[in-house]
Amino acid sequence: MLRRILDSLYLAGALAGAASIVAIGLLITAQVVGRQLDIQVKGADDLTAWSVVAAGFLPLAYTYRRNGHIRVTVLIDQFAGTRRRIMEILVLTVATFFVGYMTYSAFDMVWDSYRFEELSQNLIVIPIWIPQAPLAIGCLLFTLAMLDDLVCALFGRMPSYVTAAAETQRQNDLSNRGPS
Amino acid sequence: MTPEQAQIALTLGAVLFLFLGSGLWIALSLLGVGWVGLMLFSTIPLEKSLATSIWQASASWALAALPLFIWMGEILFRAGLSGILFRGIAPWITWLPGRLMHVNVLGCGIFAAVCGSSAATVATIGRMSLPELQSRGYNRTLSVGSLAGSGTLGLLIPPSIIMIVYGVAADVSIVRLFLAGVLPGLMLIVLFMGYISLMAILRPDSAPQESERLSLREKFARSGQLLPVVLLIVSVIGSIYLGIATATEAAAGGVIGALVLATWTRALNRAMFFDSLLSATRLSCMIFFILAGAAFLTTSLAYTGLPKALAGWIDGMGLNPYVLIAALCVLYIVLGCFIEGISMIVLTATVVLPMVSQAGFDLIWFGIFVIVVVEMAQITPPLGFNLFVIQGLTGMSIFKVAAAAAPFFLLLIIAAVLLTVFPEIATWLPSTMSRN
Repeated sequence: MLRRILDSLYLAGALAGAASIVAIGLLITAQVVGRQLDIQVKGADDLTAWSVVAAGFLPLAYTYRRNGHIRVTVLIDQFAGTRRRIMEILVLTVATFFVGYMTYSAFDMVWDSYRFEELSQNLIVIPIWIPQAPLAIGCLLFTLAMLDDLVCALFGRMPSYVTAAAETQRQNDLSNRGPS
Repeated sequence: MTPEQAQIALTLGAVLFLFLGSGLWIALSLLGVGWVGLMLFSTIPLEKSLATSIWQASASWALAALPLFIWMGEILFRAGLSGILFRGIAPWITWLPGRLMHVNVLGCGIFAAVCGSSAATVATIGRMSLPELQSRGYNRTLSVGSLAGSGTLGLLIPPSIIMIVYGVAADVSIVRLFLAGVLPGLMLIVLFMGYISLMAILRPDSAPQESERLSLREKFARSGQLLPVVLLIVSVIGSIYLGIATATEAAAGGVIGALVLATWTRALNRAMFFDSLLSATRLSCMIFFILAGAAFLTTSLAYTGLPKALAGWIDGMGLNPYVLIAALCVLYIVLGCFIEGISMIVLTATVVLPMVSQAGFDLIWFGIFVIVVVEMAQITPPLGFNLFVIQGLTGMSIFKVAAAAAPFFLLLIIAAVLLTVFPEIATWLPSTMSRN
């Protein structure tokens, strides 16, 4: 039950991120078409920049669980079984701390923007905490996903990204093939 | 550099190695080093500067090109172009020594011009060309090696994901970087094809005779299918060159073009659409996260004044600038054994770029140079992404693939040397660009 809820949360983040990418494409296209027709699409630049943040941060947790984030595994790959799990627990603890701190900092920023009623500086004037919120929410989901794995690892299971990595290797799945 | 700064540099360097080596995610390692730096060596309120620096770096219009070009590549990767490219190119090159092996080079070159990723380029071309070449009895080592080498063109020929990342990290024009990559890309194509021809002349049995004779009309008929791909290339790169579109706008157009192309090859359906979109989401999220970590590290290092001090220190040693470039080249090749290209560029940008520009190098030129070096890293073990892809395609061990690719590694070194001796190869085309 809890597993299902968490997984749908991560997926929701991914879908929102994917929708943001589509939104970026549509915004840019609207701008180009609008220019031909001498219609200024008001504030499209701002909306695009904010969508970039949503596209970058909301899918953090999902990407993480699919082993999408890159790390150096040359050393850690030398371990297997219980030893590997202990190594992963150590790494996860440090990672959870930093992601947790990032989340705290992000919410602090959003809260400050809300408290001081800061407005966006450009063509569209809205409270800046609104476009900042996806950053904080994405980080929060990410922290959740890490805690999730940390608990799993402490109870003797391998973290999600290790399983995903093994799966990729087994299938030689090209969709998880690294960035460049 | 003051003794305090030297101490800070050593501490942070050690922390970075510890984080990276222990398998902490690269983005978090960067963020972590920034965190340690601010914590130990400044009185800045950490929680305020972290999120703000990430927000400022991420809410950027220029970065919008990144997810769009990634998505475009993901669509084309699934668009079933392997066969079209193979059949379209093959009739024209059978007269060259090495015959169909040149499909690897030209196919990768053409696909690279619509796709920003090296691994996707290798996979798309290799899926068709490797089985074909093998069944016709071509020399396996040369086929595999030329594919691994040519795949790296995906990085250099625009549009290129890694160039966008470098452009953001170095704060230089992405459009100019794209254009600067065109001629070096063509130069590599010539080098690769030259090498294949040479080997085929020296060892004629490596490329069997082709029995099929086609009339000119048949040749054109077979290549006709390439036309939509060529149109997509011309419109994306052309609109950037003519100054009609920015990189971001060209990327949006590219996504639309890729969707049209995939409709035409009948590869587009619901599952494929979502598959490509989610894959693009993962890939761009990963890159954004690294950029975010690096943005915070940059902020943190700026407080310590390290990048400037290091650049001044290197400058003070009075090195020959070419010695600096050679040293950096070695550094990147070594780093490339452990870290993938984009992370490598982001990781080093804060410290290396001030040095390079202090030494009097053009940052656009240096971007192209670094990308050629990253190309070498793509085909060297233990961490060469192209090697992994070919391993997946053929089942050959990664070291066998690497051995096959070794001559192409040397050709890349030749290209890097040529680029250093004649920097105009990179800088000329952007200088002719029309301004609007």
